[in-house]
Amino acid sequence: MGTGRERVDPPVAYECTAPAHQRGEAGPDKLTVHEGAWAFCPYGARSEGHEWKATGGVPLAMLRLAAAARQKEQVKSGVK
Amino acid sequence: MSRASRARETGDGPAVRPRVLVIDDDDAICDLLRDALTDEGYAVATVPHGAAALELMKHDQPAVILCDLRMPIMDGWSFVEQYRRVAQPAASVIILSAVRDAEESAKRLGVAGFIGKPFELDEVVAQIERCIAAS
Repeated sequence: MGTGRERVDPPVAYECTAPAHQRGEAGPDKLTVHEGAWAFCPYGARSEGHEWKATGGVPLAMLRLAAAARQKEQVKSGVK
Repeated sequence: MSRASRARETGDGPAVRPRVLVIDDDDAICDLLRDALTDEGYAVATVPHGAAALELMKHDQPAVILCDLRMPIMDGWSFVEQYRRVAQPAASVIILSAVRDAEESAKRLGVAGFIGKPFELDEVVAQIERCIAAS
């Protein structure tokens, strides 16, 4: 299975910045396609009310880490 | 001429378009794959979950199935198990997923290929071509 080559993920072009989507949980699938390019929503790709912002193209791992850090901050500061 | 058409062109007849079935509950991903693979010369059908795929395959046999893992109603794991049980599996299954450890899951399922999301369309086309060439 696979090609045996090191796989480089394509960058994610959009990130959802809707305030209500910055908390954790909800849908497990965080990736979708917006305007023909990969898009990440920390609350779940199937959620309603995305507010897409262009990232300039960043790795998915970076978006996941940033979302996790934001959620941790929100828990600390008691944001619901 | 598309790569799929070139691969299937015969000397005296029209090209046969290999059929690809996409199983994913994300409409945007289905649309992306349908547009790209149609441009490549494949005949593409999309369904939102495994149960719909099994229903469709009662009368339409694809050459390759691109299958997400996490879906409502019937997920990718169940689909692969059911597909092998109810049908003489004729199609190669390629798992497309962003699930952690999805590649391990794909290996355990014994499918023909795995592609992590996000993916490059070229990678999808290359794996489909490899499956068709091997069949």
